[in-house]
This record gives sequence, structure tokens and C-alpha cells, in this order.
Amino acid sequence: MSERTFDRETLLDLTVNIVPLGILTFFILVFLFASPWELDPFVTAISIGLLVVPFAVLVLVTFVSGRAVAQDEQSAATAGELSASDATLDSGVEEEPVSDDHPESDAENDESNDTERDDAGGDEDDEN
Amino acid sequence: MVEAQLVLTALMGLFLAGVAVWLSRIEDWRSYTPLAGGGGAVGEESGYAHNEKPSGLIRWLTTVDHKDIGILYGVYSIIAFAVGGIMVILMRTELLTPDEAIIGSQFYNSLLTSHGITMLFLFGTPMIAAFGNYFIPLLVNAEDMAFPRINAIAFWMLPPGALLVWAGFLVVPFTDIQPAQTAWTLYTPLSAGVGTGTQAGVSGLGIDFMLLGLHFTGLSATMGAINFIATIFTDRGSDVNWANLDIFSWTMLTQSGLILFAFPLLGSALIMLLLDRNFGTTFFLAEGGGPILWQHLFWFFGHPEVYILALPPMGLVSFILPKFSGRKLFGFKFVVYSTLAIGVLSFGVWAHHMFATGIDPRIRASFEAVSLAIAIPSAVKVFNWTTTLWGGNLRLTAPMLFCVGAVSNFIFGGVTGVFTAAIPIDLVLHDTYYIVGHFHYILMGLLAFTVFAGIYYWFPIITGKMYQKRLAKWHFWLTMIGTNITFFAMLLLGYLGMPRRYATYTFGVGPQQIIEVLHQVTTLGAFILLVGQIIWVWNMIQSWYEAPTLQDNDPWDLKETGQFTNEWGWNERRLETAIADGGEEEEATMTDGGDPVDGSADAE
Repeated sequence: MSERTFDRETLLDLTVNIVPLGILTFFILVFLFASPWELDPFVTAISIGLLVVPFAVLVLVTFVSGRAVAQDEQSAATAGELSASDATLDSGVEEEPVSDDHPESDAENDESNDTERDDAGGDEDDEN
Repeated sequence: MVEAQLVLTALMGLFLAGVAVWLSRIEDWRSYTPLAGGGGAVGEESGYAHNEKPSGLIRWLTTVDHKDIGILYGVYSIIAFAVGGIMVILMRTELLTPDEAIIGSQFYNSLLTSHGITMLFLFGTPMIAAFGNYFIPLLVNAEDMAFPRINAIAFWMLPPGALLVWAGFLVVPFTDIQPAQTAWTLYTPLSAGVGTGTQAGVSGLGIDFMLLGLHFTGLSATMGAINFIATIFTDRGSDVNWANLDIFSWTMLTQSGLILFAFPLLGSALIMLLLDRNFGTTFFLAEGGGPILWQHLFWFFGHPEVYILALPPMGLVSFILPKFSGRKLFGFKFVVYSTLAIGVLSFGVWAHHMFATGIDPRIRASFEAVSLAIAIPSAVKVFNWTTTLWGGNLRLTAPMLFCVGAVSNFIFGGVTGVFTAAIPIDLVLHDTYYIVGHFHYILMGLLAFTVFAGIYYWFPIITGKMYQKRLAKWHFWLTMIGTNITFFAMLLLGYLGMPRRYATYTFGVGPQQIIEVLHQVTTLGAFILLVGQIIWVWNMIQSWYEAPTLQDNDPWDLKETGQFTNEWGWNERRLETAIADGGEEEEATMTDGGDPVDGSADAE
């Protein structure tokens, strides 16, 4: 189940949290192997702990949330539940990679921009 | 003697347990019905709660409807915003001249303290709760908050909290008690009443009042957070799942998690400080735990508090900005996961507020590392917002203007924050106006701007009316210009070495003339902000009372772009119900056991 839940798209989404994890890893290594201070077991433990604990919790939270989202996404897509009126993501998840992640290549968006840009000057017609 | 005390304690425990059991038998805590089990003075067993709310003041005093409580939170917060704003206008007026000329340094210090506490605890947190209360149940298709009565209790803790926080000002004309003058951080040993100044003895009772008031607000926030978490986890409609949960709910969920871990710690620290002040304990005294212990405890709460105040505003931008860009939020899930990352990492950066205290440099270095790491998820959001705007069909309505303004201000606030995450730079800038400028770019520039965006965006739902477009634009531009004049000048003052928290600047730090001019520019910006906010309040009140009722339930043309989200759908059902009923909107009728008869109506 786990391998199927974390498919390529999900892993791609989770990369956003890999960057801060990478920064933390970098500093853990620096403080362990290139520290300008002499090694004091107590202070080093606290110092590294301050990096390791957030690292571990972030991994855990990312994993749990990523799994929850991916599982619900799969079950909703299977059941065809996501629709414009039902949810705040206003279209089915299968469309999302196209419209969200590659907007420039989305012809429909471009067309609507071209046709509606003329109206931009008359903004807020709806307000009184 | 000891045995007697133990017996007494056990008896009291049994008594309290008995009370709890009795209450649980007669009360259904999740029900709307005042006395769900029947009997009592005013209730009777019916299977239904009230069909309509009582009228007038009684409605507002007794309501457990999440929408009413949301409005109560909102009105309360705006009053607090006005009080905090008037305080800072007095302070800025004093700072027009270098010497102590208008209000005096003690009163200045009192205002400085209360301005911070008021804006953070009495405006910021409750204002976010206002949006959460009104809209989270609608967005997730819940009938109400999970615990409506706890929701009401959480709100009603705030007014006494505010009175206690401001108590020093209220009693100072009649007693020797002084308002707290400790700054909002309440650093010990000053706040512990050490010494013979105005913060000790009888005159220091203002601090005790403030601590108790803060405790009330903390309890309120914690109860609210539990309610939001329970609502989003357990009361979601069947059509809302983790994959399509809206971004505002995600940020509220994360924020509630932060509150759940942060505010109880603040409560504990406040009690320890009260004990130090009044019962001779030494938690934060040099002979006991030491003054730095307070800073650790305070900032372990305090830094998550920053994100408690920043994450929901980020959610509001992420939610509202795409509606006026004609397209969905770019990288929705990036924003979700980065929100969670900020939530986690926010607990690992607290000592970056304490770089200048002389803590071990190896420990400091770790906090610097996490502080740099937390910048990434924040920056990710900015890129997502920018990319959403890129090539979009932008409509510069008032909520959109405030969102774009918030993004712009957040960049200033965020980038200046990254600088101070570096220890060497922080050591130079820490006690200067640079820090004041930095965090005000976040709190005014992001938080207040998104609050305005949210209010304008949802104004048609809350009031059934539309605000006045021209006044809203005046409000935006005055606020945008005022914010940037005020807080950019503060950044420059910081670079020139102007220390913060002082009522005067006659001391010879930096180029005196330039500092004076920059202070006057800052004050000018504050007055521009004041004018903008007066226009806003006028717009809101006049539009609510006098604007024609909206006939169109899609004032933002959300259906065109497929972004007609749940709360607008709820509003549409409400209006349709009102028409079917003969033009009057009926109150929601909830049951306390059976199916809801009509969960979509609301009274006006």
C-alpha cells in the first residue's frame, strides 16, 4: 500500500519539505565534523538534538500528511467524488497536475486570459 | 494533620468527580439545546433546539451558533485593534520630538506594553478565530463547530481578558496601581517585581492583572484550537477529504496544532511568574531558575505565536488570491506541505530571539540553522502566490489588492527576517528599530492586510450587502502607503542604530538629525494608517446598514472560473431558502439527536 500511495506525483509534491530537511542535514554534518568548538558531549547532544528533533518530526508529519492526502485523493478519484461544487479544489484531482503545475502549457488558461484581458479595465463591475 | 489534608483532598476529588458525572448525565455537550435532557426552568424535551434565536442583546449573549460567535470575535477584535491603534498613535506622537514632550516616558512604556499585548492577543489571534469560526464549518460542510458551547465559552473569556490586560489604565486615575511597563515580552527580573520601581509592590499590580488577562486569552485560544481541530477532523462533510480540504482550513488546522502545544506553556510560565511575584517562589530570579529561563519559556511559546498569527493569513492569501486571478492556486499541495513544515519547524527556532543574551554559541548555531531552514517553506508560498498571479486574469478588487499588498509586505518582512536569523547581523540589529520594522511588516503588512482582504471578500456573505468600492480603494492605498512609510523608515532607523522601546532619543546614538526626521516620517506614516482605518470602519458600518441587499450570490463571478467554494454554496442555499420561505431568512434548525431539518439558514 505504501509504495502505491507514494507515487511519483506525491513524492514530487513532498519535495517542498525536502529542502529544509536538506538544510538541517547540512548543519548536522557541519556541526559534527567541522565544528570550530571542542566536543563537549552534553552541549553537543543538545546542539545536535535541536536539529535532529525538528528533522525527525518534520519527516513524520510530512509522511503522515502525504499519505493521508494521497490516499484520499486516490479513493476520491476512484469514486469520482471531487467536483466543482463539492470541494474547494474546484476540479478533479486528475486535472490538477496540468492546470496547477504547468500553467503556461495550459491552452485553455491562455485562451481565457486573452479573451478576458480586455475586460480587465472594467474591474469590479460587480461591486457597487 | 497531613492525613486530614489527604482525606479532605480525596473528598474534594470525589465531589468534583460527582459533579462531572452529574453534568455529563444532564448535558449533551454537543447539542444546541440549552437543556437537552428536558426539564429545568426554560427547556423542555422536544428533539429540536430553538427554531429561531432570541432577539436583541440576549441573542448575542447566549448564542452558540458558529456564525454569530465569529461575528462576536470579529467585533471584539476590531475594538481591540482600535484600542491598540490609538495607543500607538499616542506613542508615535510622543516620538515626533526627541525629548519627553507630550505623554511622558512612564505612560509611553505602559502604552508600548499594552499595544503589543493588545495587537497580538486581543486583535490578532481572535481576529483569525473570527474567520475560522464563521467559515471553517461552512468550508468543510460541517453543521457547526464540533463543540458549540465550548466555542461560546472560548469567546466569552476574551472580554474579561481584555479588561484585565487594560486594567492598569482603567484604575490608574483612582489608585496607586500602574499599568504594566514591561514590554509585551514581560522579561524578568523586571516583570518579577524585583527592585523598588513602579513594577514592584502595589504599583506593580497592573502586571498581575495583565498576567491574569493573558491567561484568559490563552485559555480561550486553546479551547478554540481544540474546537477547530475536532471540527476539521471529525465533522467534515462526506464530500470533503484531505485531498480537497481548502487551504484556509489547512492553515487553521496547523495553527490550531501550534496553539495546542504553545499556549499551555505560556499559561504555565505566566502562573510561575505570578507565583514569583506574589508567593515568594524563585522560578525566574537569579537565585532560582534565573531570568533567562523566562526567556526560554516565553519564546518557546512566542515564536510559534508568530506563526499562529502568520499561517492563517497565509491561508487567506492562498485562498482569496486565486479567486481574482482566474485560476487555481499554483502548487496547492506545495503550500499545504510547506504550511505543515512551518508548523513543525516553528518550535525549533525560539532562541533566535535570544542570540544577544549570551547563551552558548554552539546552541545559538543550532537555532540559526533551523531559522534558516524555516525560511524555505515561507519562500515557497511567495513563489506559489507569484506564479498564481503570473499570466492570470487579474481583477484588482479590494480583497485582491489587499492580498497583493500582503504578498509584497511579506517579502519585506520575510527577507529582513532572514537577515536577522544570522547571528552576527542579529547581534548588531537586535535591540534596534530594525526588528520593530521587520515584525511589523509581518503583523501589519501580512496579518492586518489579509484580515482586510478576508473581510472584504466575505462581506457579502456576512452582511448580504456589498461594501463601497471607492472607499475600499482609498482604504487600501492609504494602508499600503502608510504601512510602507512607517515600517520602512523603522528599518532605516534600525540601521542607524536607533534602539527600540525608548520614549526619547536625545542620547547620542547615530546621526541625530536624520534619526529625528525618520521618526517624524514614521509618525506621518502612522497617521496615514489611522486615516485609512477610519475610512474602513466608516465603509463597513455604513455599507452594512445602508447598502442595498445583494441580489446576486456570486458577486465575485467565482462560478466562471470554477471556484465557487463551499461557503458561497451555503450562502446560495440560504438565500434560496429565504425566498422559498417568503423572503425572510429563517434560522438554522438543528436537532439534538435526529437529522438536521435545515442546516443552511441563518438569521440576520
